Amino acid sequence: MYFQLQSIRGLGVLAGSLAFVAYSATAQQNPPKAVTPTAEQITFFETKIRPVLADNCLSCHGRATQLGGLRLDSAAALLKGGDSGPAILPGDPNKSLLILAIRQTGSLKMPQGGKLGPNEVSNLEAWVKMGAPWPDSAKAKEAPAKPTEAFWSLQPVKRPIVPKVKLTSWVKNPIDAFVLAKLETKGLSPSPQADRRTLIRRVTYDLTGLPPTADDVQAFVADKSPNAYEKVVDRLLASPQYGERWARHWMDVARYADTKGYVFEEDRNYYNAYTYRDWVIQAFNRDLPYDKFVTQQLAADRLPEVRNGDDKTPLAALGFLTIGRRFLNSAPDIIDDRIDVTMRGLQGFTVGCARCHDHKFDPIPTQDYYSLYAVFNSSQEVASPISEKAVREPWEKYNEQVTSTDGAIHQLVAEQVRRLRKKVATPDGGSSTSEELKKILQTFREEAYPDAKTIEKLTPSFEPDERDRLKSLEGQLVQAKKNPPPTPVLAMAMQDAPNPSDGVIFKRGNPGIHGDAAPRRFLLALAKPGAEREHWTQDSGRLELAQAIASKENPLTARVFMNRMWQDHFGQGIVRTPSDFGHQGERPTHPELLDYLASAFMDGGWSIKKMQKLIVTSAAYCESAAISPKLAAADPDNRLWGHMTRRRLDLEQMRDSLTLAAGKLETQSVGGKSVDIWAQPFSGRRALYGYIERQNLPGIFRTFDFASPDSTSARRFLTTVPQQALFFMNSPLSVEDAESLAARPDIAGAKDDGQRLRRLYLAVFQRLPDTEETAAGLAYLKEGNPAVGDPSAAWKYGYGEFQPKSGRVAFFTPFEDFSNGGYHVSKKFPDPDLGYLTLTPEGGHPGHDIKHCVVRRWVAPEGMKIRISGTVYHGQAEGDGIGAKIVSSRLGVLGTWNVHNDRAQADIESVTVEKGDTIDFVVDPLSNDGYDGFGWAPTIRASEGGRQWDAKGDFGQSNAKSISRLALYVQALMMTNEFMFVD
Amino acid sequence: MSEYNHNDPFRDLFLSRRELLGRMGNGFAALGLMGVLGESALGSTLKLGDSGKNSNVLAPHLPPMKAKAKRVIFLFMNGGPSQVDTFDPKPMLQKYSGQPIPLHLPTERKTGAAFPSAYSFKKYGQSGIEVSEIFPNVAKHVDDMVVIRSMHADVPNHEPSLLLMNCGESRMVRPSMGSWVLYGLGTENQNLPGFIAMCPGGYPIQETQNWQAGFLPGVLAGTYIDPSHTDIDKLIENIKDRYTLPSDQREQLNLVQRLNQKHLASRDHDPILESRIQSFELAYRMQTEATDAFDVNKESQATRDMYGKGTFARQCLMARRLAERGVRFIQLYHGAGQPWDSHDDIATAHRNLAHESDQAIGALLTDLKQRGMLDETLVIWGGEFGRTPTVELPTPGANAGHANGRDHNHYGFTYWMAGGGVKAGTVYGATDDFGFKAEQNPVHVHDLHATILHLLGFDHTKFTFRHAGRDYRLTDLYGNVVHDIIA
Repeated sequence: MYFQLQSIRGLGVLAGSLAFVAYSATAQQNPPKAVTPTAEQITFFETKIRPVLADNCLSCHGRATQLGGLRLDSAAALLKGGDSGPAILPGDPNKSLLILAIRQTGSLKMPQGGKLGPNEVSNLEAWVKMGAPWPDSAKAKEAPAKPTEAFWSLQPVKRPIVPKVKLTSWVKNPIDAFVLAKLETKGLSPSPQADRRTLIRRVTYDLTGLPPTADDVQAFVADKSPNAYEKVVDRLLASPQYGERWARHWMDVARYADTKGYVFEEDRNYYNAYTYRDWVIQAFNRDLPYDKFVTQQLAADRLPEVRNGDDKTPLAALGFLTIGRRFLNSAPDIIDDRIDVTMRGLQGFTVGCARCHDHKFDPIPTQDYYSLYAVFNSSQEVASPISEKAVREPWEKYNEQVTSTDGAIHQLVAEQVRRLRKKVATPDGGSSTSEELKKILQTFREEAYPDAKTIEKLTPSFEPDERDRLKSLEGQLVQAKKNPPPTPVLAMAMQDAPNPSDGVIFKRGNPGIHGDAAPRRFLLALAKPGAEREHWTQDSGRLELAQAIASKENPLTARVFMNRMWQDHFGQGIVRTPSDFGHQGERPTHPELLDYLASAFMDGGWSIKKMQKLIVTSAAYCESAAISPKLAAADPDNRLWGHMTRRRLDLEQMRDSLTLAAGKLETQSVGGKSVDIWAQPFSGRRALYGYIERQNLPGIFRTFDFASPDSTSARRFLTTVPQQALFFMNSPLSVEDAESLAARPDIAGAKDDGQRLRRLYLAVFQRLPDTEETAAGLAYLKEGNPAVGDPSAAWKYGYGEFQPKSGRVAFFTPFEDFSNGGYHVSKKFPDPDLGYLTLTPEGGHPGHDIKHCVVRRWVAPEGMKIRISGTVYHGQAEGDGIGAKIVSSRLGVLGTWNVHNDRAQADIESVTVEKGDTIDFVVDPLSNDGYDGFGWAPTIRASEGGRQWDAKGDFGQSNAKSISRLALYVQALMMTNEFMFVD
Repeated sequence: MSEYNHNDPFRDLFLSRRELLGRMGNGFAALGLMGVLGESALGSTLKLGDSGKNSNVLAPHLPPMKAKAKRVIFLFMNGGPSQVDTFDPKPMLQKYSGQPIPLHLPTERKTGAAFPSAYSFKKYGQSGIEVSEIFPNVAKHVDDMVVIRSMHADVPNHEPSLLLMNCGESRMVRPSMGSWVLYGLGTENQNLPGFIAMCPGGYPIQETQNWQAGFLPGVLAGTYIDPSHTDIDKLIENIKDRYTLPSDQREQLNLVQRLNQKHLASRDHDPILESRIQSFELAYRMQTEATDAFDVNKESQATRDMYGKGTFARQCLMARRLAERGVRFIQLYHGAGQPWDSHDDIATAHRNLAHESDQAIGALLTDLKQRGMLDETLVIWGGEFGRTPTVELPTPGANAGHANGRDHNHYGFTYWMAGGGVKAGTVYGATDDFGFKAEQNPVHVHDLHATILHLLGFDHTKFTFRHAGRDYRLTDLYGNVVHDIIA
């Protein structure tokens, strides 16, 4: 048994007992004695003291919480006291902190937010005075309960016996026996196997993050060989896309991001974080055994094969530790994040609580936290070259040369400066040269190194030999720097610090208050009972930590990873809290199955792909997502795995599927630097290569439930919110992908809509449409192309003649020039013939006369009722002002406003327009066009539907795009549930 | 334990469809009622035990305790407004003007002698609460406010103090107060984000962390809006269809839904499919509703005039429109960066800042009251800390050689709250004679949070979320409700 309670003091909670006294080492050495109580004292204690303590104190100073390090549920605890010292001095209430606190006469006032009654206070005083008798029975109650079994997750992994089942024909591999046995005990049957089309879509998404091609589907459906499915699985596991998909799962655990988070003004980017991602992809693709996978991520730099070998790429694995948030560069928080990702990510155990106090629920004392802290505190970051030797070595040589020459120069100069300082300090001087030298030396502090200009000034005073040597060194440096070799790829690695050392407990997490020492060693909970834990005194201890985790002896490592793998195939883990295998977490639904997987995993040499194949070839995995009413009633939560769970595509699957359907997905290149995949022009790279800005994660990530990169992520939330729908409906990406597919030559060039539909269905759904779908599609495509929806497309800018007789604008001529944020008649402004005619976002200028009015024209894109509002403004006393009119092509003049050095509200409450009608905002110069600049930026609102046109906001050269009906149709297919869900 | 204490948030957030159906009572027939989305079959509910209740993380929930406040408008004066120049008059500073004060507290930068406020104070209202001349309009509302003059925080730096004020923790990543409130109460209007953070022209310090969801579901994070934009498209992502007319989009959606219905029928009417179908209908309506909510031009001229000109006025008016439409938590920052950080020239700087905001805040309070909304709306005003009553001494690069500003001060500062069930017309707590340190009835940021949650109907010690093996709360292990400021 790994974990035995009696071997651990201070973890009373585990025993399920009531309070359990934690003696500190000092308390044990010299425990002050409380008196043995008499019968009356016992009665007094049980009626007057214990209830008061229980009601007023224990919620903060009891078993569960010990604020101020204090607990008040045993005599020993009272005597030991908290951070401020013992709580009582038996016999002397006036020297007992507890009494002082409840009297509330000093600075310490208890209980928080209240005050005990005077009787209660005097009872407690009396009790302390009589020596604070605490009955034995109470002590007895607090004693640890009898030894309990180790907690399930801390028991060693044993390969369980595969259970016997009735429906043997259903069983494809041992996984199924475990699943079926449990179903059968409940009198239930598993769901039938999914059809081939469903199955290949499911397994392809699961293993590669992408849908199958229509050809893949067809080939599988047609393949009559008995190992048809196995062939598919093998092909998928061998594809480079497999590593990309599973790397992304692991990146959730590893809290991958390309930035540090908030760090004041410093550059936030982790330019080389991608090397970690590349390493993870390759690790999955090469099926790096999981024990090595773990070891390299914690201690690649300590491995002999990496230190001595040519291949330095494993150093990139250390990104697991280094790519976390930087918390304003606060070391304790950075280390906390590294402890957290290691322990929750690899062990499914939360250790973070122990930063401030012993873990309340799991056997993790504070000391363990600081043991791990010491390991990471004895390590430091380093940018390590990982390119091949031919690139790495010249660069290293070059670096060495530059550094050593630099160092030599530095030393020489420093020595000479010292000599000169001494020289000017001796009183022989007074000469003008030494006075001058003195001045130069005063320009920088004694311990500082002078800048290049100062050195230049000082050199003539150096010793001649040294002067020459300096010259030659500088020459060497210039020479060396002339031809720097190319910089190799640098990984965000770690190395041991020069002086690795043990740690010390920070009391309540405060680095300023030190407690007991914390030697570098592994967790108590995972130590063999009775055995002395290994103290890691060599180096940082990271390698030893890695080995302790990547060990077959470790009960958590294999279980935690197999559970994650199960979750990513079934939607839920066998333990449904995948990063919490402790008391607060859920218990496994199928403990034997989990152990079977864990032991098979380890026995199979920690091969991830082997286990992956085992899982996806099980009958359980191949079950249909349809549910029988009986199953639905008996197991609504699907804890028995009686059917497959239907799942929505996650962010990356969604983005990749869209890009793939659009024919733009780059599947050939694997790995590489991060790109902003959500900005135009849209990249064709897979979503896992998307740049992740941890501090200000763009909305799209949150909208689609991306794993928060703030800390290790156990699983993604799955929500359905309207913002997701808006993305499909209105985002430029969704439109662009739809248009790309619509423009594909075989689609655009199809001989008729029928053929077009069939090809589209194959591209989007990998199947052909049925008659109903075909009919719906044909009917939709029959209509003409839709009008442009962008409001800017409704505006035209030009000039024309207002004809008072008809009340209409004639000879509308669009402006030809758009420059400097405005429309003009021609490139020349003012125009030699037509003058200052212009329109800007806010207003404009009319031409010479009523035949050359300036006209802002709005063309109704569809029939509706509208409301017009705006302010006409003329701001100069000179001239005679302007005449503003709103003119409808259907109804004539709707309103006239002559404005001179004034403003006028130009509103039309309601007017009906038909599609194609124009509303003109006309300005004429009245009798002369001097000083006629005006402001007028009207808005038009549809009375229904909320559409609006804003002259100012919509101004500019409209880049509004029309979308073809075909593209709209393609977009519709991409919006469907069939596209977005995997059965 | 309250029912708000999730033992397993995931169990709630990842409800299986059958579980959902089971809880709905009679399966698909009940789904119509589920209607409101934001949602998913996987949406969380805080009261999952009650079968038949909806299961939508954003759907409105009742809090466990009766409460007056239904929503929050948090006017965040980022940078740290000076208490002695605004709501905490200190005549002693005049007396000691230019002399050292008998109180030595370490500050971030060096400060010197007592530095009296350049402004005069006057008593206002029935309550006679004194307010600085730079807030004449806000001052008219003192009878609706509680002014807390004894706030204190932990450190005199912007970054940790912003996080402490917004998320209850100064260093680690934790959900913001708005996310907690949204998690606890859901939101009343499914066509709008439930938590909106506005900051004109960019972000405050610490950026979007100020409204982060932390370990809560990402949909609970504040939706950031830059109110200096008037174009709705720039306010809410993808809200506008730039490509087609509404009629064309409707026709397209009809096609999508026709295909979806066929798909649904062949899959046992799985609620997770159904909920996505409805999310499209909701999104379609949201396009209109959101545009409307942010369009302050729909207000009457009289109302617009009351709020005044400028971005601050616009965001206050937007805040009222959003509150009216059921948005749960609205936070607005004065401006990008740290506008109230008057290390120098404070007399001019604070006057300008107050001038930018005074009329609009006054109008907001008037407007809420006129519409009968103030009782249910908790309006909070304050920054991440206050400023020293002593003058900041010039240091190179810090205040350009002037000795006419104030340094950061976390020892004591002022917050006021109005509406939402606070004890109106009262002053709570006090700083020392110079306004440096909270002395009488000090209120820590955690206490403020505990009190705000209380006003919204939550016991802050029981309102938790399990993450990383621990039940987290906004107030972490701290905080006491300040009952004396609750009506």
